[in-house]
Amino acid sequence: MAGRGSFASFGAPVQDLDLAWQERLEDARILLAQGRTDSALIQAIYALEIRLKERICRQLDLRQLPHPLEIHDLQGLLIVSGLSGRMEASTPLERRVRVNWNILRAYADEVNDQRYKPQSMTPQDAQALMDKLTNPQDGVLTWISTQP
Amino acid sequence: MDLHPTLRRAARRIAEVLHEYAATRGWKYTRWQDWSEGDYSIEMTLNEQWLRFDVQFIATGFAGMDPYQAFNSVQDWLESQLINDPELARMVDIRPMTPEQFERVSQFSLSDPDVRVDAELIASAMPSTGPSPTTP
Repeated sequence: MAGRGSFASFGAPVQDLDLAWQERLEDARILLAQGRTDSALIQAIYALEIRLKERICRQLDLRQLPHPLEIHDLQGLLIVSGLSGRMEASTPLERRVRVNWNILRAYADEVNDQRYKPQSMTPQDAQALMDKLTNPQDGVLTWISTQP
Repeated sequence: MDLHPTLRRAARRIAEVLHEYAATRGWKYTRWQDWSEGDYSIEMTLNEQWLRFDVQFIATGFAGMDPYQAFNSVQDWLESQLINDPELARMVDIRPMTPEQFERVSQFSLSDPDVRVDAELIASAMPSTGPSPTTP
């Protein structure tokens, strides 16, 4: 029997991932509207992580996420998704997306610790971070959706 | 944790390029713990799993700059200086920031696969200092 960590062992179906990232994003918007800033951003980071996992499955023509990719390392997920090189392009849009990505990734490093802390982010800061994810021009999720 | 000599050389070269960028602006280097003595500092970590250097380039000179403008300025410099080593340039994620911004993010813990590049190595890459005898 294939063990956990093997590429012969599979996790969440790609259809679930596709729904899940959109639901986490909607959760983030609802929480932000209710002033739950830190929780909103945690959901937003989950949305980004799951979106990358969904893209990896599509790119590799997999129906389910392999267990070895059940990781939380955004940098690694971006590389495996095939988008890392494209984000490094020197075009004005990719430069802006890369800055947004770097800021979101720094915040993502904190997510695991955040659950033990009281809320600390202002609504303005939280909205600014959400914007780096969903801005219609250079938001990271927006950009991912435009990539072939 | 000790870095592999090849990765130490890569980290040193990245730091060297950033020191040169700062020199063109007349900035004075300091380690973060001695911040009041200088204008800029460099904090670097390596994600060994994916071979990516994450560089926080902290400088008062970035205050008031648009974050995209600051990134473009440093990234353009980095790519021009590493034009003969594009693979190394691709291994670097630069985050220019002010000391105030760094104070906010420096409380974040390192993610699991990250290794901190030691300050001695970064300091030794300053052009005026020259290579340290103990640094490969």
